[in-house]
Amino acid sequence: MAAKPEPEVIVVGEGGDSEVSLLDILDNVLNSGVVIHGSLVISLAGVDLVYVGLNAVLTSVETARKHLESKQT
Amino acid sequence: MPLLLYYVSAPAAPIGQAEGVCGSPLKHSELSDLAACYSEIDSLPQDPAKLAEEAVRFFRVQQAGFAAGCIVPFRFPSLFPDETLLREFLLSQSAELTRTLARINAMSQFDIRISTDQPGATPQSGTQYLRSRASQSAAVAKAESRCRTLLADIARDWVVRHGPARSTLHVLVPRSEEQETADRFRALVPPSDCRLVILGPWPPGAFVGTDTDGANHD
Repeated sequence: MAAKPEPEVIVVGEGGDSEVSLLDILDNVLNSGVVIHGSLVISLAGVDLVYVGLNAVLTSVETARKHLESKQT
Repeated sequence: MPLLLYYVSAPAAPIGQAEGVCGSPLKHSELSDLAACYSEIDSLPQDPAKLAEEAVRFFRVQQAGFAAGCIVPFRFPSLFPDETLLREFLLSQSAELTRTLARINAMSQFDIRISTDQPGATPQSGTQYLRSRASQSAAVAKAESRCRTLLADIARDWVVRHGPARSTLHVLVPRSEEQETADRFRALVPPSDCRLVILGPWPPGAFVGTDTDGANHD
């Protein structure tokens, strides 16, 4: 299959940027795709158990996204 | 070391690029009829801005995989403690993932964001507010209808997410029709009361049969 171009933005109407923004990309990777629910238990060096809450990580990215949104408006 | 899963593809699909999130080398784990693209990562950055940068790297890996073939994308971040558990996951989900790969094979997704552009006067009464909202909803619905008509002979599926005075349509189109889809949107006469932003093509992540809370699948 032939390689595809980078995603693009088409704005119908006035204004707007014609490049895919960081906000668009974050929106895509956070809201699109298969979801694995739950938390993970990770063993580091076979000793310590670290509980990684996926929600905590997602919240952190959401914070960045909202920060970007507020800067754009 | 934890594994970050980017996407699942057919076994023969090559890795589109060599480096993933946090500079980690990309790897392939193959089962009989599936392959997973992942990388080992120590940790993800705590700082939201840096984490957002890594999310972009994640996106780039998915786009490269998509350029090379059909992929089932995973959301950022999908983490597994080790390869054994990743393989267990793939084995347990192999039937569903294989079906999904077949369904979205040679397909692309475009996103259409419709929003009303009516800034200005704050409603002076509840009635005025409700009228304004009704007017915005009607404008969005009209624009949605125009988009569906525009792609009626191309679109294979739609997922719609409604918000206040805005709506996002995800449309599934054959990859052979990507250019035609983009050309039709470029030629679309702008609605007077709405703004449309079309993004794509990218992997059909909205059509992988996962969490679709709040979404309408047509």
